[in-house]
Amino acid sequence: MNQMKYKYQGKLNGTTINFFKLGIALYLILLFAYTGFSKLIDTNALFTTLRNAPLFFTEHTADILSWLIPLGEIGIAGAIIFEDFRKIGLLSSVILLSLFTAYTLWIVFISPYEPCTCGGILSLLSWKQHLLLNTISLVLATTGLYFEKNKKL
Amino acid sequence: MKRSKLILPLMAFICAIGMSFTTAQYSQEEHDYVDLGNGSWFEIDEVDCGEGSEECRVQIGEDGPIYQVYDEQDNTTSKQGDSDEPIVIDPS
Repeated sequence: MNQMKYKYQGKLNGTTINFFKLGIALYLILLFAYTGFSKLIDTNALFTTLRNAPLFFTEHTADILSWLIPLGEIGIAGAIIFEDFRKIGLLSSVILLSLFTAYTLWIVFISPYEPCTCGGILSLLSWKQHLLLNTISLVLATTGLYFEKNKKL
Repeated sequence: MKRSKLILPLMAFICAIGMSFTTAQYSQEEHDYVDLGNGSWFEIDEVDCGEGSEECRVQIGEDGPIYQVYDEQDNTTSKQGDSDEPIVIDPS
């Protein structure tokens, strides 16, 4: 009787975990594909934001980053779509979201001024709201990576 | 089963592409720009300059610097209005 109970619980947990894994994957695909394509459609806005950011990017660096960041985000979304590349996609999203979160933390608490934000409808968020979104996304991506940890790259 | 695991993520990806196109158009319509010099532009909320042939200018804060307003990040797209008196905008 107890064996059956444990077997049932194990199956239920597996189903729940699969549900969470899929939910996290869908959320990250939507987030990265949406922000990536929004930036790619209007690279001028991202270029301006990078130039105005208190990191003193040169024109050349800002130009390269204004293409590299959206293409990287779309690449991550693309990797998460396919199960074979999902672990790499999740690992890359944890790294990118950590960088974004660190940058947002710096803007909110240390930076001498706050530049305007960018990235489609997310530009309507304040920097503090951005920080909250980044933190939630980072926690979800890390959880997703934890669930995928038993799979080989 | 394998195929159904691919369909949902693919649909999310396509949905995100559609969303980015619709909101990109929305965000582009709501802004003007000022030239800070050295190839640096600053995005501001769209300014109502009125009708006329005077240069439309904004002042960033009560005692802040005054800038010419542009529709795009391009020096040939300066906005014109009914007065050259600068419109004071919120620096945040």
